Amino acid sequence: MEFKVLQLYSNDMNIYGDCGNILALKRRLTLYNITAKIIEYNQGDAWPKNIDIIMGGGGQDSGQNKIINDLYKISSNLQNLAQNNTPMLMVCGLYQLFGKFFKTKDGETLNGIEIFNIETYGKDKRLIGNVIAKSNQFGTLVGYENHSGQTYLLDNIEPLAELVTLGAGNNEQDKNEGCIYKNCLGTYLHGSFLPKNPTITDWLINQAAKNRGFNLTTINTQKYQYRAKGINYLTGVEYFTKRARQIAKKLKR
Amino acid sequence: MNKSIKLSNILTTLVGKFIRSAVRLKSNASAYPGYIIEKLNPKYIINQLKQLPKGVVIISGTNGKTTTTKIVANLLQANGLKVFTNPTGSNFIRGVISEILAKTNLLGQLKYDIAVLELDEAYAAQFIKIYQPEYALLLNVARDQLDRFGEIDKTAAMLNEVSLNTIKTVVLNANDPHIANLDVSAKKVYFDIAKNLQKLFINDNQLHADDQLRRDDLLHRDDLLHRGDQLLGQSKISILNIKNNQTTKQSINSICRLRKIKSTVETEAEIEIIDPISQKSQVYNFKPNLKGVYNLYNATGALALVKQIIPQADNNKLIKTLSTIKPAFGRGETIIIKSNQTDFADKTIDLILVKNPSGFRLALSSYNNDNIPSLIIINDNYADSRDISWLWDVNFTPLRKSLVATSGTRAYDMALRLIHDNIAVKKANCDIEQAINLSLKSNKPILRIYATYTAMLETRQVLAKYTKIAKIGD
Repeated sequence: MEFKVLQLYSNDMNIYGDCGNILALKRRLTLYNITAKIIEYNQGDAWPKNIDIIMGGGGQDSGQNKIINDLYKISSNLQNLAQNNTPMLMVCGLYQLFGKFFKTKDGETLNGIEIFNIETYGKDKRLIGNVIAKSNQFGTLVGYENHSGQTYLLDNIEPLAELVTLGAGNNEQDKNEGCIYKNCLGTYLHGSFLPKNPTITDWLINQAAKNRGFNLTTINTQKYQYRAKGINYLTGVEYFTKRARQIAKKLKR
Repeated sequence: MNKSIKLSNILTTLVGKFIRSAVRLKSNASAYPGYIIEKLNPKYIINQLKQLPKGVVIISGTNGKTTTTKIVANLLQANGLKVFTNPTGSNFIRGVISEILAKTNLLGQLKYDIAVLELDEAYAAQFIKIYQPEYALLLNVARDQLDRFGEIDKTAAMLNEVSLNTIKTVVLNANDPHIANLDVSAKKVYFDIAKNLQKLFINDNQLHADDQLRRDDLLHRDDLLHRGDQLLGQSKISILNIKNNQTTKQSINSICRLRKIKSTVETEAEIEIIDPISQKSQVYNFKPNLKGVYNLYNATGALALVKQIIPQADNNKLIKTLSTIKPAFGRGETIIIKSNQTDFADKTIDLILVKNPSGFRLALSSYNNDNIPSLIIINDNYADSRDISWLWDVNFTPLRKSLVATSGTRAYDMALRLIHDNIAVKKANCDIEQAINLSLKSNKPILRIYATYTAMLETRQVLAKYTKIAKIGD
């Protein structure tokens, strides 16, 4: 079986380890015996059909300016997919642009495509550092944030993680991180995000499977064993992920 | 210099030297004296640097500063100049002041001909506010420490301040669009590489734009290496205008070009130099004593700069000197341990500093990795970059047949990264000393250690137990 994974603006919104999310998704899918077909979408490309999962990353201000007009063009495609429960993960820059707007501190407004009922304001203070955030649905999430935009959730949208115990998250006032609307997730966490937060990866995969009409329940990982020739993905993913998370949960800001 | 400045200089120097000796008794906080003097006498650094008849050279950029600074200093010294330089690890203003304190005599005199300073991009932008350098050599802009800099465009903007405020000559890397497009008020010259070699040194923008390049195992791309190229002065160079993403063809005067290289693992190459006096171009074979394909490129930039400072320098002599220069500490440094000192066989250790995707990528293609033990040590202290997301932008497949172990505070993250590239990991151990000791016990004669900055320092400390490690600054 093959899942089509769309990587939004792989050229310009791919600044910091966002490739890691694609790779993590691709490898995790193999545990379900599913192959991933990664489609890189960039400005002006034809919009692909039958997309299972959509991933989007962060970029510099100049990157956002490069893609914004194309993003408006495809916004109805994205809205339809969102309303049809297509699982999506938007990190940092694209998280913001999926909202209502981004207002810079000079008062300029960059409109978003309004899938998320959120607003972002550019502030002087940059929120940078390790983050630990507790999510009722997904468990403890770990990652690293780096953003000058502060995001506020409005009505009818929930945070991805309800309680940030280390770091800032969406903004300096609320203690929440990211957002979730239908099957679309937004987050400020890098790290990369998915490798150390497999509950999210599994969830994206499961939602995509549900949309195709079936449930996935088992993961085919072997128990960790030391091997003379070395530990590979199957034997090592649970072991290394668990320990990398343990280290992450003890980090300072 | 008038008498009152001279007196204040002497006083400041004495106070500074006193603080230096006091501090050295306690710890290794080498920049602390600089911090104090910066506050006490902000004009000190200017007064001292103004004494140098040939002025100040700044070398900056994301990758290659330390090695290039060392190459430039050595080449100038070989041509009879007394060179003042800041030691590795001190590429910020306080570090420079501390070194000035060390090298100024008791009469307040800094008796050198020229200063060659390695400066971090952010500090270079600060430095030019107090002293406008005579020369600048600007190497590249790559993703690095985004938790410090915020964005690559900001880093380029900082270097723009440097290029605008340099008063004699700015030497730029034509192959990096961020650098090639910098604004220069004084004289501007370029160094570059032959077209066929450009794929080896692609910048971050290109890395993501070209899927094939991203997956390329550069080690086996012979087609990139052997074809020669047109001589300088005959072709126009394409400059990518990053503001509007359009390529324009501009005539630039590239005065130094890396034309051919033997292979990515053997640093032997052909370089072409246009003599600034005769305007004639000539091709030379050269073989730096430094490993790593990027060092060929660093050497090209260094030669271009030195020819601007000393136009009459003999090219053959410069090339010869290049072959004697040893790597700066932790930058492709080779450490040899003899078995009679230990309980394991003779070992040659390559210690390679890694800081960002471009650097790591080039490092991985600069060595034959098959059946060689590799140890990747990743810390996440401030000097290493606290955010380790960048590891996910490095293609580790060149290590496919290596015997890889990981260490450092983020040993497990690194192991996780490797298995995602289908690379089998032998062991992950956060304890650096244990990990090194275990890796040393392999029956292979070579061990390659890739380490982030503080991990590299710790590695040198561990290895110092087995053999004499060169002092920092050698």
